[in-house]
Amino acid sequence: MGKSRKKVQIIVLLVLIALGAYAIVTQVFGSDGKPKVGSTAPDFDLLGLDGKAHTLKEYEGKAMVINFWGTWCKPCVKEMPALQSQWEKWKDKGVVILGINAGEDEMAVSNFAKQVNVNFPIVLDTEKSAVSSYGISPLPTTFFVFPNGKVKDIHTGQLDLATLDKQIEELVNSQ
Amino acid sequence: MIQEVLAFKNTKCECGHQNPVGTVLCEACGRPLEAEDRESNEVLEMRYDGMARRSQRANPNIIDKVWNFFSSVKIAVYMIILTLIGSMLGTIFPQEDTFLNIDASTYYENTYGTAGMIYYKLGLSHTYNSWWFVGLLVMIGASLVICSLDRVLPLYKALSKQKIRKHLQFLKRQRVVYQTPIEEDAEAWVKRIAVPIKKKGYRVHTEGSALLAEKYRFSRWGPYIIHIGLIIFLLAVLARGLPGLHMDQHIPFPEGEIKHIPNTSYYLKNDKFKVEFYTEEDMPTEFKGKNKVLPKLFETKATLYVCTDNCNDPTKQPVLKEVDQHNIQVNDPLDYKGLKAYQFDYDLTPILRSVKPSLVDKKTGTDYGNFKLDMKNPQRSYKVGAYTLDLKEKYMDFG
Repeated sequence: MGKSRKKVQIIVLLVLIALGAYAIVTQVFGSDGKPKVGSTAPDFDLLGLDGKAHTLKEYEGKAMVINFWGTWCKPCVKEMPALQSQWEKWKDKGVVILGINAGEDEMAVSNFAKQVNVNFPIVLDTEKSAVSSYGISPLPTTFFVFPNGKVKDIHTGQLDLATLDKQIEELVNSQ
Repeated sequence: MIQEVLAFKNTKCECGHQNPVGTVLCEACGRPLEAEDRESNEVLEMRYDGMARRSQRANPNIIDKVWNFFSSVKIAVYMIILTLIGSMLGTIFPQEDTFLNIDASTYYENTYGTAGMIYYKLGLSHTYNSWWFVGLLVMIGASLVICSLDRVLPLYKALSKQKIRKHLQFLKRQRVVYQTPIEEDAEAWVKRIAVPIKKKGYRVHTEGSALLAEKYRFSRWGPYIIHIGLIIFLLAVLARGLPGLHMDQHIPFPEGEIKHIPNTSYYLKNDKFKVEFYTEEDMPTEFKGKNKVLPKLFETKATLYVCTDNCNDPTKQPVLKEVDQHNIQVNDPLDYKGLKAYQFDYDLTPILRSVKPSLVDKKTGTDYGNFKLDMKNPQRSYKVGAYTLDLKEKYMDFG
């Protein structure tokens, strides 16, 4: 009986440790789930202005700048030219600049893109699912993502060309 | 306990039974095992009928020590007190998760001043999700499990293999004792007395001149039944954290729009929202004359759809099937297979959803008819009479 009792003790303790660790991890770290610097950028599956569905997975292996924006948001509009010029500069060097429009319809977004003359990939988050999985509250918010899918940096508010260039260079040099 | 082992203490009772270390009263006959205890006339220590708890053992190793820590009632009481204090701290200011959309790092300082800032910095603004609070709960859970295991088996043994003839000391030192001389022959008396005791509902066991009668044995298991209940409760709380078992979302549903419920295959349509307020006359008396606006009825006529095709393809329109319809009121949610939709808030700000302009030739006055122009995702081309109208741009921020 002595041996089986010890076995029972060890099994009970192991089960308790496993359950306890699970409880603490899910409660403490899993509660908000918003990506932070260093965590993996959440996947999305959104309709692009090109009429095709785009996911984060298809850009795997490329450094990414994910910009959340809206046509009604003035700083977003102001940073569009900077994003466009960086897109032109880096697109052949394994960098993707992706705009995620927060909740507007296709017509508004495509007309806007034509009007401000930008052609980097833009996807429509009509249900704001990516907005919520990325935990976006103010617009614009920009995520810089390493080719391995980890978040390098999160920038809230308008971006200027210099910071954008520096950030992208750091992303590219990390490879 | 260790000293007992070092002293090669004999745990064998005079009745011949070998008792485990930590036993207070002989498992077989009930004779107190400690010499000191035998000389005393105090009431006996009757916990677990004198059985050794599982945690009491000679030479505890590390596992035994952990086990003993959790099996201690004293430690459990401290843990419960700490949890109580922790829970109280969590109620000083509202918790972060009671707000839908705040930046906690500034909210607490702006709303409650320095105290709020300290509260936030200490992490008390999310007390119930903090590692130490959950840790305490886990430890209480562990304590419940281990305490129960530690005591249930000795109790089971004590109850199932009771010797009928007990040691005289065992009998004389109970809390309630009655002693009287009986003139009759002992065995005959025991036989005779068993009948009326049985009638009273006792289960009677006799062995020669000894008699053991008991009833309501089940009540001895009471504490462990409560423990099992608490353990099930804690496991249920844990299970809420498993993906897919619990969901809580706040989503606005503008009237007339079918909206997707994120992370599910369900779509909900708010067909009609109605809010009625009390008039001054039919207002409940305690609120009369206080110039208050009190709602009498919140009601949302809602329709629930489930997606049957093209669900996760953003390039296609999802195919929806109506599955439920309900008038949601306070405490009366739409409930479909455990998915419950409650009302949370309302916003009476009007939204321009669509317009129906007519095409009229100003000179001749000819009316070519009208068309419906949606504000969101509008059609790009309309046929009105002989004309085709193309939508080029929309300017939403007028007015």
